[in-house]
Amino acid sequence: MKRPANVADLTASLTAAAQAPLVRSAPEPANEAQPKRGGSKAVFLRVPDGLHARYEAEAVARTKATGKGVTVQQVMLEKLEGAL
Amino acid sequence: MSHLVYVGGRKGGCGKTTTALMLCLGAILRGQPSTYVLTDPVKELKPEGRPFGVIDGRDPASLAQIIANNAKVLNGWLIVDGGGNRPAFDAEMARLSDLCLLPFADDEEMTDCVRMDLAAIPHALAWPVNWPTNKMAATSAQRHIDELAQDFPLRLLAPPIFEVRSSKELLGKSLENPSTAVRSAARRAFEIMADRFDEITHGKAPQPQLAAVG
Repeated sequence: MKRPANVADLTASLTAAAQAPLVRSAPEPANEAQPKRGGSKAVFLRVPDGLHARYEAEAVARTKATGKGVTVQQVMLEKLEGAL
Repeated sequence: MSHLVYVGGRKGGCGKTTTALMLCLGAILRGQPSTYVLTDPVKELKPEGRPFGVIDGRDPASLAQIIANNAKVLNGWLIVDGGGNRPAFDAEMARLSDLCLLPFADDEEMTDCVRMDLAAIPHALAWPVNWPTNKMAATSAQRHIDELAQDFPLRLLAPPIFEVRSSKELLGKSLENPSTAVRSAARRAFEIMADRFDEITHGKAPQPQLAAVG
């Protein structure tokens, strides 16, 4: 048996032991492990048919011109950025 | 300095309080002063009618003072009752005690818990308590003792404390007149513990004397 030198030491050690968590909490996962989402937000827009048809036409035209798939969403985002 | 015995274990309801109270009563019945120390913050202090001292160690500062004061006491037993679910506290109290006991009953869950405690507290002794006396049940329960003895040689205190239905008297509000069965069980439990204490401390423990009460 090993006894601490004084009551203050004893109190400190017993208090710490009595308050020790039963199960140690798991460490927070590292930030690098989480996929980065580019700081974007999802919004829902109800676009009138006529306006959507215009964006769609442009997307189809650019797809044919470039040979890469261009979506309606990409076209709309570019227009929105240009409007600011 | 009186002998400091800690009765611990992480499993709630395994018999820590009953064992601690039984040891205190047994010491008194053998003519040796004893004091029970409550440390479980969710339990109530019940000093009424106890023939031994009952003191409140639920606050760590009070408990520290009790342990420090124990150095000035010349004889007897200070039996400290732990609370469940505090493995760090058990380890610290085991370090401060002359003897650490881990009671366990005859079921799989308690055996698993005492196994963890034995691994965490290197010098603690597991003690089968509330052990069945029915022949068939005792045969079945022996498996738990055998398995622990195989995994932790010399870490079991034997023989067990056998079940005594009236041992619930010990936990009652008052203990004015313990039944004969409880007195006998208490005397026997104390003798088992004191004998082992004696062996551990190389013959320094006081020898049991004639019964002063009962």
